[in-house]
Amino acid sequence: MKEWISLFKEETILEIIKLSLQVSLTALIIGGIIGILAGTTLGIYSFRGKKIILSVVYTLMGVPPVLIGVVVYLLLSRHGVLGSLQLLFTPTAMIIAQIILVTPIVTGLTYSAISSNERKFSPAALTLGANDFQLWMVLLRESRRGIITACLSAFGRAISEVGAVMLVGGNIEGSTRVMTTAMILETRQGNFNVALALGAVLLFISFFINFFVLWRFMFTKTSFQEAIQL
Amino acid sequence: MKSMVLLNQLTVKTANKTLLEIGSLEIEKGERYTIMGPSGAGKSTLLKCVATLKPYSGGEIYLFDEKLVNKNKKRLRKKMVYVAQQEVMFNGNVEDNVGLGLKFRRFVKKERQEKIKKVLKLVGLEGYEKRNVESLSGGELQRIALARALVLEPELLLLDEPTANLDPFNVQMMEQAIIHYCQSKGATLILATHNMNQAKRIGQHGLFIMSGKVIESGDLPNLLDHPNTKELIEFLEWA
Repeated sequence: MKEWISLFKEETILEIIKLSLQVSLTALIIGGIIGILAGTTLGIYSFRGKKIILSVVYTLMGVPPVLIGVVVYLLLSRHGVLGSLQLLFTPTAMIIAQIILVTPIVTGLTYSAISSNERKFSPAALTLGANDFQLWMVLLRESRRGIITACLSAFGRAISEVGAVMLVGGNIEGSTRVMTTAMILETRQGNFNVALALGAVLLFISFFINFFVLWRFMFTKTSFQEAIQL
Repeated sequence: MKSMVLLNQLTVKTANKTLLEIGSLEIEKGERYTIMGPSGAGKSTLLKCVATLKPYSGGEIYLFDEKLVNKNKKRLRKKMVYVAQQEVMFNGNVEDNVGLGLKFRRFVKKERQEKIKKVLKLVGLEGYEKRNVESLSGGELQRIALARALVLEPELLLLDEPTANLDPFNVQMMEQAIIHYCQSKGATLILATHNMNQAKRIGQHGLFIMSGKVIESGDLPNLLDHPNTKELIEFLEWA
């Protein structure tokens, strides 16, 4: 235990934790905004090709992160389409990869939440005079639990992901090393204690964020609980 | 203004069924019109078409002397309110729900609160502003739904079985509020109901539909006291 505590006195470990949070939260914010907008659009409007788009979105929800890593790597490598931007092996590249990872998750789950509420709330909102923007706001508000779940799932996927960030970030100490890539490195070097300590931190951060969000936005008394109360 | 609502050869069809077929129907300003018929007759479909919430397959709808087209849909919708049979409540308290339409119309908070207070008094729910909608009974919720519509002072009020499954006290409260609103504002009402006594109490004119087709129409209560068709006679015997 003492070893674990002393680990966190090292500046590099704190930097790794900070970078992990920075990369995953930035990806979540950007991917979340895109995903919520896309999911809401898909949930409210009917248009040609919607079924195909949804099939693609749901497929991408389960895409292996390492595949995203390869694609982003190829795009950002020197001879890639975006090679001139020189982003490979930078935190920005890692953020891009994670945005691609989280956007379909947020889109798919937001679509699911919005579409299940749309038929219920749209007629009432429209007859009360809601314009398109106001209808969006009403549906987002009524679907907020589903959307929060979408964001929590996406964050969990991003912070625990290793394949894509390893490929496009390169696991460079002091620059692109995050908790998951550091865990792999420490395990390979036989420093199991450090790897486990990083894993514990990862779990704690995830638990803290989930608990806070669930406690703040999601917990209500259930009908079952009310029914069994005397 | 000639008419508030004018339907001409209106049809609503699905892939294998005709839901509604109305040859011609004209409702004048200030009229209280009832659409009567058994469940599944097409009453809700008709109201939703007029409320611009449901597309129709053929014919024309004129609202406020304007032909309904996609372009003027949103503008015309602001002059009327449709209250569904099982109206949904939005998350929040009574004030949030009753004031939602006013918020959409950008009324400031103070104005909203004044209007909400007045309309809650009209439906007999004075002082309910801060009550959470989840704590209200079915009858109270239906009255809140009515208040949410009346607070917008619509020229055309479309009510779809507003008192179905309510107790006599709530029915009376709702009916009084509806009649008072229509009389004081000169508003037009289209009420869908399968309750013939309610149709007599509220309506001035009405039509009876079955399987999407108009069976009989005329002045109330005469239409119900002296029915001419076999279908209406049979329905009245059951009712």
